[in-house]
Order: sequence, then C-alpha cells, then structure tokens
Amino acid sequence: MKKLFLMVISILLFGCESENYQPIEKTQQSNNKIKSDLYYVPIGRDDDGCMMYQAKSESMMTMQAIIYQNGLGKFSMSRDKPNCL
Amino acid sequence: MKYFFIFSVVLIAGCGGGGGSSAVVKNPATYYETTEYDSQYGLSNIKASDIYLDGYSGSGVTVAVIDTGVDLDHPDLVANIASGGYDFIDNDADANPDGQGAFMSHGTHVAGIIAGVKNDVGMHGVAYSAKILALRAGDSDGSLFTSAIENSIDLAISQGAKVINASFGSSDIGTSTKDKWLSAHNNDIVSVHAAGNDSNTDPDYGAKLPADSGYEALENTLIAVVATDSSNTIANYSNQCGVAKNWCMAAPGSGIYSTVDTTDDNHIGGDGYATSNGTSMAAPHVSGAVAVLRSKWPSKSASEVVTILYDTATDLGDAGIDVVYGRGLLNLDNAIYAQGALTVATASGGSHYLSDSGFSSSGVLGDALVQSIETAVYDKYKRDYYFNLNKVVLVPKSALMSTELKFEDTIQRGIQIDKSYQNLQVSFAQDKSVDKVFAFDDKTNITGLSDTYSLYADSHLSQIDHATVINVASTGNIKTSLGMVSGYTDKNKTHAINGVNAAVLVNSTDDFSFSVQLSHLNESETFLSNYFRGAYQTGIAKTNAINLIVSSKLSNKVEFIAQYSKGRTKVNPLKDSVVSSVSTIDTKGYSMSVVANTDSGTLFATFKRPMKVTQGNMTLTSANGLNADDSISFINQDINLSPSASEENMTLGYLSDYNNNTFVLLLNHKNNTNHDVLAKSEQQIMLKMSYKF
Repeated sequence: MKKLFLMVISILLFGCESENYQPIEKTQQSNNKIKSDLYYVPIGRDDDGCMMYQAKSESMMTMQAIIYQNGLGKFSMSRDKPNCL
Repeated sequence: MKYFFIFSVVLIAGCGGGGGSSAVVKNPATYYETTEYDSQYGLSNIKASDIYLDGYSGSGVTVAVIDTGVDLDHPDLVANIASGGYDFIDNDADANPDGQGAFMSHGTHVAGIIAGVKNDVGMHGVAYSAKILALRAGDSDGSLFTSAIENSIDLAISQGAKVINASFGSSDIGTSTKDKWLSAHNNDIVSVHAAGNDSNTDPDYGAKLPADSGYEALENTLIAVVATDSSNTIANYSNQCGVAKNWCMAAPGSGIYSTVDTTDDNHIGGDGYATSNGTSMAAPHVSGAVAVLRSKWPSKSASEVVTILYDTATDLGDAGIDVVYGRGLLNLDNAIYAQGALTVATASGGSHYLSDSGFSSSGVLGDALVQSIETAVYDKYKRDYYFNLNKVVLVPKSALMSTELKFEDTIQRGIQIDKSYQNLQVSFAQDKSVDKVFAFDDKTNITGLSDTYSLYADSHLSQIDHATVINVASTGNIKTSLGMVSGYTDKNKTHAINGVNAAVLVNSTDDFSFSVQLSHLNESETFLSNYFRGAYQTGIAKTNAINLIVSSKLSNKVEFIAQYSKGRTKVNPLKDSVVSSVSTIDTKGYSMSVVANTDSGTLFATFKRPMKVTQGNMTLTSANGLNADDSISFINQDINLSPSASEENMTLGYLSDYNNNTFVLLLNHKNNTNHDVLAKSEQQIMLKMSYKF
C-alpha cells in the first residue's frame, strides 16, 4: 500500500512537471533509460500538452534538442507528431 | 533715388537637363523570401534575406558539425557536404548516422539549419553556400562521447573549419575537453554552444566554459546560445544566459523546420524534413551567421566576428546585456551592414570620413568624374564596403537665363576706381569681372548681361569670384598692363586663388585690335576651381594661361570679336590623399561673336565652346579591399580628366536701351551642357522689358 501510494504521488508529480531541470537520479525510475547512463528526462509539457524530454547522462554530453514520445512509445525529435503523449 | 518698374517675361523652354548615370537595379530583399525561405521562420527572425540580396551566404567557409552524424546524401545537404568528415564512433570516413536505437536525426537537423541547400526544395540554411564538415561523435540516441568530441575538435582544426557547432552539453565537462575548446580558440575558430534545455538560470557546459578559471580567453570566441520562439521570447525550456551573459546571445530554437535523415521513420511523413525544438536548433543559426561573416570578411579573426555579432544583436529583455538574453537576438542584417561612420583610406595610412570626402567639379572637367569607379570604404570594424565615386561628385548645374532678369547694377556688382597719372591708368576693383578689369576696352561686354551671356569671359581669369584687382595700364599708343588679382574660386569665399596678369594690346585701331593676356594663377586647395575634399584633397595648383582677343570691323556697324584661351596647370598631390598624382592638365576655350549696332539697339550672335580640359590624367590610389593579413589593399586607378564631350553654346540676342526703356531678348541653345555627353540639348528664351522713371 505504501509503495502504491508513493507510486501515485510520483506519477502525479511527474505529470505536473515544471520546466525546471530534473536531476538524473529522480528519473532513473521513469523507464526512460535508453541505454547505460543515458536517460530521456521529462522537463515539462509544451503548449499543446505534449511531454518534453531532454537527453541526460552523467558521463556523456547529450544533444540539446527536445524529445517527444509518440503513442507507440517511440522517441523522436520531431514535433510534427499529432499523437504525442 | 531710382525706381524701376520691370515687366519681364521669362520663357525658359526646357529641353534641358543634365546627364546621368544608370543605376544597377537590384531585386528587393523580398526576392529571397521564397517558400523555401519562409518554411523556416528563423531566417526571417534573424533578418537573413537582406544579406542574401548582396550575395552573402557563407561561400568558402567550412562549418564543423560535431554531432550524431549527418545524412550525407540528403538532397538538401549533399551539395554542401565538405570532404574530410569522419565518424569517430565507427572509426571510418562515413559520418552518416548509424540508425541504431532511437533514430533522432539530430546532426542532420542541425546541419540543415546551418547550410541546407537553396534549391527551392524543403528549406535552406542560414549560410546556404557554406560547407558542412560532418564529424560524428555520438549515437543517434543523442549521446556524444568525450573522446570522440575531442578527436572531432582536433580534426575540425586540421581541416580548416572556421566555426564549430556544438549543439550538445552537459552539467560537467572534463579538463581534456576544456583544453580542446581552448585549442580551437587558439586556432582562430569560433565555437557555438547550445545553452541547454533545463530552464536553468545558467547554461550548461561547454556554453559556460569561459566562466571557468583558466578559460576566460574563450569569452572572445565562444558563443553560448539560448533559444527563442517565433515571437522572439525565450523558450520555456531554454536555459538562460546567466553567468555567460557576456558571451551569450539568443536565436530561434522553437519550431524549427529542417532536414532529417531520409531513412528516419520516426518522423511522420518521411519526406526528409521535420520541425524540432531546442537550444540545439538555436546554436546552428548563430553558426550559420558566423559562416556568413567569415565568408564575407575572411581576414577578420574569430574574436572580431564574434564582437560584431554581439554589437549588432537586437536587444531583448532588460536593456543592454542581461542574464536572460545576454547580448540579444542574432540580427544578421545588422551584422552584415556597415556600422559607424564610413571612412576612406589613403595609401599613406591616413583615414578620412567618407562624409567629408568627395569632388566638387567645376565645368572644365565636365563629365570626366561621372563614371563608374569603384572604391572601398571601411566601417568601424574595418570591414570593406564598395561604392561608386560618381556618388560623391558634385557637378555644376546648368546656368539659367533667369540671372539675366536682374537689373544691370545687380549683375555688374562691385566697385571699380580708375585713376590716371600721365600715361598710366591705375585701377582698383572689387567684386568686378576680372576679365573686364584687365581688358583694354569693353568691346566684349554687352551692357546689361552677366558673364555667362556676355560675348566672352571664359578665360582662366573668369573663374575668380569676389576678386580684388589692382591693375596698372599704359595709355599710350602701345598699351600694356600689369595687374594682380586675389579672390576665391567659390562664391562662399572658401578656396583662395591669386595671381598676376600681364597684357599687351598689339594693335589698336578703330577697325582692328589684337590683345594678348598672360596670366599666372595659384590655387591653394583647388585646381581649375575643382575642389577635392577629404581623402581626395589636392595641394597647390599653378596655372599659366594665355588669352587672345581679336576684334575687327566688318562694316561700319558690324564687328567680329573672337577670344581664345589656353592654359596649362600643374597640381601638387598631397601625401595623405587618394589622389596620388596628377599629370599636367591642358585647358582650352574659345568664342566668336558678330555684333551689329543699329540705331535702335544691338543685335549679336555668339558661338562659344566654354573652357574645358583637353588633356590630363589623375591617378587615384584607392583602397580595394582587405589583404589576408587584414591590412588594406590598394590599386591605382587612372582617370582621364578630359570630358567626353564639348559644350556648344549659341546665343542670339537683341538689346535696346532707348528713352529709359530697356528691351532684351535672348535665345540660347546648348548641346552637351557642361561638357556632359549625356546632357540633353537645352533651349532657353528670355524676354525682359524695364521702364526707368
């Protein structure tokens, strides 16, 4: 029950994410680990309600483009997708 | 007290008009605002179309794109891909993306913003003629590896890249990578870094690298870039300039349409283009702008180019440099065009404001200076711009007969005092026609007309205005005279001229006379009344001239009068002047008149060829650009000072002064007015009647 509560709180916080930078540690639980030490960290929603992600790593430089996720779960830099999550 | 009623009618039939030069008709900037241009609003927001108007698009400059790889075969990129790129992940020469994992097309998108080809397809880059050196240092998932980045910087340096685009970052950076960016700085490369997308008040590394101890020098060549949206407001995800405000600027980053890998099926449509957001998209706008500037002025250093971009940016946010937008929004139009007062350089190292430099041409040069002679001028960053000298030439206006409407005592202004001592006559005159004071008789002066329409007055002496004259003439059978004159070549009494005149009347009877005038004139700032200002100034000019006057009666009432003037002028050039040499200048002018004196008045016909240069050259040592070491280069340009045409001036006149009634009728026709081959013919008619009571 406690774990479920924490999960709900976590999801709520995640969904209301501000534009502020998220430390990588928090997002390691977000299932957006792309590969070893590479995460797509949610950084907030854009004006259309699409979640924006930023690639983060502790050991590597990362591209500074906003990433979106489509309904199929695929990540892309393209903002053209009407079915973003 | 005298009163005059004047009833005058002037009919100045205008078939007149001076010549002119044809201007090059350019397309407006909107010519470049094509569908392709408009597809990427960033080009419009940084005001790119104006620079394309003048052909600035990054040609000859290589931009290194250290990224996740570039689709080298993309139709909108392939023509602008430089050889020598490398894949430091796969260690081969193929810098295409690998296609593994999440296929992001990041490097391809960045490359398109910088140098997408202008081909009426899709979109084009800021510097659509620049070359992309593709250096793959990471995977398509957006991760870039330290060693690959460092190797890429080394290769960018060795391949001669002028700018490196770094649309990547991190909260930390190793010393070895820092040193590589310092190495790029030391090799005169501008590095452009995305500020990051964390909505932080400070940018990530490497954008904030100059804030670190030991790397302060990078402030002059490293640009941090924050992202703005289409309304030029910082994007909500973008980091701010913060500690990097002095080396930071803003560029469009949200909703940027650019190229993506044609095989990237993560992009809907799969047409090779997509819209993306991020400071990754803002940085390449600045990289493209750097390429444009370094293409146009290859001798300018990285730090000079960066300074220009900062100084010319459009201020956003708080006035001046601020922690959000730093130096402001990239403004390519401002960056390209001349800043500050333009100057004209001289080969001796001097510099003169263009606004103070130019030519005020007298009639003797005619259209000689109105020709296409291109020269370079420089702005406050010592960047070269070009213009035609004919834009700074002032040519005299055509004389109108309206002057003749003035009263006689207005036209014949000034004073003259003559005193006789035995066989000598001493004359002192001010503001009188010099020709008339030095003349032995007044046959050439038709009463009531100005110098322009009197029978002659086209000798070298006639260029002197506001003259003070002292003349001593013998009054015996052999008439001689010696006089001095001091005056100005302009009505504003700015440019002094002085000289001496000696004359002899060889034969004088009622039927025939022949006189010779020899003159020597010194001009301190002008030559033959031509004033060259500022960078074109000339030194002392000395003119020796001879003037011959013949009059002969053809019958009791009809007289023939002719005048011929010839001169030779030597001009001393000044060291600090674009006018580096002037040859000996020869001048010539003549007139012929037939005058019939009747009981009711005087009828005359005159044909004149006003004085003009018949031989002479001037050499301009003009700036024509910048050398590779950024010094100013010069070329010699020879100008023929002889006009391409000769004015023909024909006047038919009738003057009557009877019982206080004055009647004047003048008909005048000119071809090639002011010795200008392009001048249209002019016809003027003037009728003046006055009644004195």
